[in-house]
Amino acid sequence: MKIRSLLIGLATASTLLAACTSDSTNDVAVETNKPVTLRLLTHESFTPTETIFDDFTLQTGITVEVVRSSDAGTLVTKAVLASGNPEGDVLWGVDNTLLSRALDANVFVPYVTVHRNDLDTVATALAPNGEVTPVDSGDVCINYDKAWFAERNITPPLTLQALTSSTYRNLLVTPNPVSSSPGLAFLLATIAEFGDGWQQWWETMRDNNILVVESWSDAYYGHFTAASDGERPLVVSYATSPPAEVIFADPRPTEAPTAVAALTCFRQYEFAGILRGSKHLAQAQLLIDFLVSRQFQEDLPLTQFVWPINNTASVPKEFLDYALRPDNPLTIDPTIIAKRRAEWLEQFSDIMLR
Amino acid sequence: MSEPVWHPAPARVALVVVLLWLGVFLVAPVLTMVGGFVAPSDFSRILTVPSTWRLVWFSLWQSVISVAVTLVVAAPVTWLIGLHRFRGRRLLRATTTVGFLLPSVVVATAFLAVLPRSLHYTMFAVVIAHVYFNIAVVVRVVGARLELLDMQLMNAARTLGASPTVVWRTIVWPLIRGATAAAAAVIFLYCFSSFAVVRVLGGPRRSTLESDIALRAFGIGDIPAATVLALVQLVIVVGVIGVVRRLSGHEHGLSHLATLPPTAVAHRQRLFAFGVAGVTAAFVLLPIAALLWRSVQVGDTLSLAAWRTIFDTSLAASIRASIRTALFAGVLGVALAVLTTLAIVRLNTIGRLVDLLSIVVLAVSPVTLGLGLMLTFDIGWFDWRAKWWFVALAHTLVAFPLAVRVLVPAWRTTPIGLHQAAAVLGAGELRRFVDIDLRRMRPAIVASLGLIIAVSLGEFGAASLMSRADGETMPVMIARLLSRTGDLMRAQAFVLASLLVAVCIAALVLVESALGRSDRVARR
Repeated sequence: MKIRSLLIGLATASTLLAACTSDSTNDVAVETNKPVTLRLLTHESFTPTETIFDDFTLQTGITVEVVRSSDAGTLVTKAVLASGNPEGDVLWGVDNTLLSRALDANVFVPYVTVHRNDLDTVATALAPNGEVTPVDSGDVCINYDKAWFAERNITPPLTLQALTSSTYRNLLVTPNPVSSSPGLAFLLATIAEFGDGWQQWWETMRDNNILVVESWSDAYYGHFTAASDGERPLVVSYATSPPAEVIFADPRPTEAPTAVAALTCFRQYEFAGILRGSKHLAQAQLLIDFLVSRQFQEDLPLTQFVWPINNTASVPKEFLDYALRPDNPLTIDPTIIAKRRAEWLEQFSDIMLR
Repeated sequence: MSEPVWHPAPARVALVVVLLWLGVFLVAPVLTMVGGFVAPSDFSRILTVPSTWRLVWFSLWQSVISVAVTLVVAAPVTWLIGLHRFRGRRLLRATTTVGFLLPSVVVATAFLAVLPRSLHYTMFAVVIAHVYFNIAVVVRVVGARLELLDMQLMNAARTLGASPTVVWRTIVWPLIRGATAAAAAVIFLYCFSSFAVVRVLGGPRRSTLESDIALRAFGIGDIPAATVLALVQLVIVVGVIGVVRRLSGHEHGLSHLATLPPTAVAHRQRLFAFGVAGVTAAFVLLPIAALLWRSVQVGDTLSLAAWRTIFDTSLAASIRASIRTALFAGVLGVALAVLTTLAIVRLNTIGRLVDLLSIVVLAVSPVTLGLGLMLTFDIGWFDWRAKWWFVALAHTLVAFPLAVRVLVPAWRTTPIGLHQAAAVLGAGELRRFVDIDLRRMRPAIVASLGLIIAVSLGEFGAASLMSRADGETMPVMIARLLSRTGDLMRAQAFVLASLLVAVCIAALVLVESALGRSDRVARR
C-alpha cells in the first residue's frame, strides 16, 4: 500500500516536472494532471518486455495501452481508412515498403524527436520532415533449415537466381506480398535484384512451385521444416530469425538450426508516428521519444529480433553472435516504391494469385 | 380483389422512409466510391486485363460447381424431410439449418480443423464449405415445396402404371422446378460473393471478385480498382437475379405453411432414411464438434485455459461488441424490414419494384458496403468511423432483405375480411394496423429479428473493415486470433467460435419456434 502511494506521488511529481521542462508542449501538457492513457496501435510482432512501459508511466504519468492488429499491411490500411479519426494515438510498425501509403493519406502529425541526432541517418532521411520516426531495422532474407539440406547433401541456395533451379523445386514458402510486409520486402528484393526481369523470375518460381501463404507466421510456423511439422525447408523470413531459434530453444543449442542466404536480403526500416486526430499530442510526443530512447531500443533485439535504430543503444552479445547483418542489402528508393508499389503488386497478383 | 380498405398514405410514408434509408446508407456510399475515386481510365485499366476476367470466371465456375454439389448432397435429406413424417423431423430440419446461420469465418475455421492438411487450400475445401452453408437453403426452399406434393396423385399415377421416372418427370419435377431454381439462385449468390471461405480455405492463390475487392482495398490500397470490381460484381449479380426472377416467376421465402408431410418412411426405405439422417447430421455437427475439441487443446495438452480467458478484456470486449452490434442491427433492421414489407404488400406496382429492390440490395457485397460507408461518413458531424453502431448500419442493410423474405409471406396470410370486418366495426387505419397486422405478424417479426441477429453476429466482410480495435466483433477477433502465433491464441479463437455457434443456435431456436407459431397463426 505504502509503495503504491509512493509511486503515485512520484508519478504526479514527475508529470508536473515533465510539464514544466518541455516548453514546446507546455500548453497541452498542463491540462494533463488527470492520468492519460495513450493507445499504441501496432502489429502482432510488437512484443517488448511486458513491463517496459512501467518506467515511462512512472516518469510521465502516462499509461500505454498496446493494441495489436494482425499484420503491418492491415494496420496501415485501417489507419488510412481512419485518417483524421484514428483508433489510437501512436502507431508503431509502418515500414519503408508501406510508408508512402500512410504519408499519401496524411495519416500522421509530424514530430521531430529529441533523440533525432542519435538515430541512423539512412532511416531518418526516409522521413525528412519527421512525419514518422524510425524505430528499428531488419533484413528480410531467405532462411534455410540447415539439417534438412545437410541430410540430403544438397547445397542451400545462396542467391535468388539459384532458387530457380529444379533442385529447389517445392522447397520455398513465402508470405503474400499483398497482405504481409516481409512478403512485400521479398518482392522488392527480387525487383531490386532482377530489375525488369523480376516478373520472369516469379513465373519461373511459380513453375518451380513456390508456395505463397497469407502471413509470415503462416509461412514460418505453418510450413517451414525447422519451425513446424511443415514440408518446406526454405522460407522468407528475417536475418534475425536464427538467433530467435537459439534464444527461444530450451536447452539452447550452440549453433542455430537455421541460416540465412545473405545475398537475398532486403533492408526494412520500421517507423512509429503520431496519428493525426489524436487528442493527446503532447503525451504522444513523449511516447515517441521513449520509443527511440536507449532504454527501449536496447530491449528490441532480444524481444523482437530487430536492430535498434538508436546508435547509442548497445546490442547483446548473444544477438550479435547469431544474427546476420548483411553489408550490402538490396534496397529500392522509397520514392520509387511509392510510385510503383500498387503496379508491382498488381503484376505480382496477376502472375501468382489470379 | 375488393376495394382497398386502407389508405395508401402510410404505405407511401413507409416507402419514402425505406428509400431515404437506402439512399443515404447504400446509394450514397456507392456513389461516393465511384464519383470520388474512380476515373474513366480506371475502368479501362481494370476491364481490359485478362486477370479481371479470370477472377470473374473463377467466381462463376466455383459457384456453379458449389450449387451443383450442394443440390446433389442436399437431395436425399430434402427428400426425407420434405416427403416423410417421422419422429425427430423438426430436429433434423433445424440441424441442417445450423450451417446456414453459422458465421463463414467459423465454418471455414471449422473445416480447417477437420480437414487433413493435404486438403487445406484446395478447391475441394472451398466447395465442401459452400455445401455446408447451403444445404439449409435446399432443405428449406425445395423441401417446403415437396411438402405440398399430393401423394394421392403420385399413388394414382403409379397405380395406372407410370414408372417412378415418369412420376418424377410429370408430377414431382414440375412442382419443385421453380423452388429448385430459386434455391440454386440463392446459393449461387452466396457462393459468388464468397469471402471468408475463399480466403481461409482457398489460400492466397484463389480469389473471387469479392475477396479480390478486399485484397485491393486492403492490401494494395487501390480503391479505384476495388470500386470498379465491385461494380462488375454488382452488374453480374443483378443480372443473375433478373434471369432467375424471369425463370422462376414466383416468390420464395424462408417461411412456408408447414402442412405435415403425408407419409411415414416406407419400411424398406428405413435403413436408407436412417443413413441419410445420420450422415447429414454428422456432416453438420462434425465441424462444430471439432471447434469444441480444438478449444480445449492448448498445444499438445488438454486444457480449459482458453475458456478461462473469456472474461479477459479483449475476448469479453469482442463478445460485448458483437452482442451490442447484433441487437442494434436487429432492432433497426426489423423496423426497416417491416416498413419495406408494408410498402411491398400495400402498393401494387411500386410494391413489386420495392420487392425487387430489397433483393438487389443483397447484390451489394458487405465488403463494398463497408468500404463505401467508411469513405462516405468521414467528415465533421458525419464522421462516424469511431462510433460503435457504425458496423451495425452495414449489418442492417446486409440482413434486412432476408427479413423481408420472412415478413412478406406472413403478412399476406392476413385475410382481407378481417380488415373489412374491423373497418365496418369502426376501427381506424392505425388501430387495424396495430391490432390485426402487427399482432398476427408478431411471430414473423420475432423470427426476422432472430435472423438479422444471427446474420449480424456472423458477418465478416463489412465488420473486418469497420470494426475498431476496441470493439472488434467476434468473427473479426476469431480471424485475427487465428492469424497469430501461439497455442493459447488459437485455442481462444476456437473458444470464441464455439460461443458464436452457441449464440447462433439460440437465435435459430428463436426463429424456428417463432416460425412454428407463425404457421399456426396463418392457419387460423
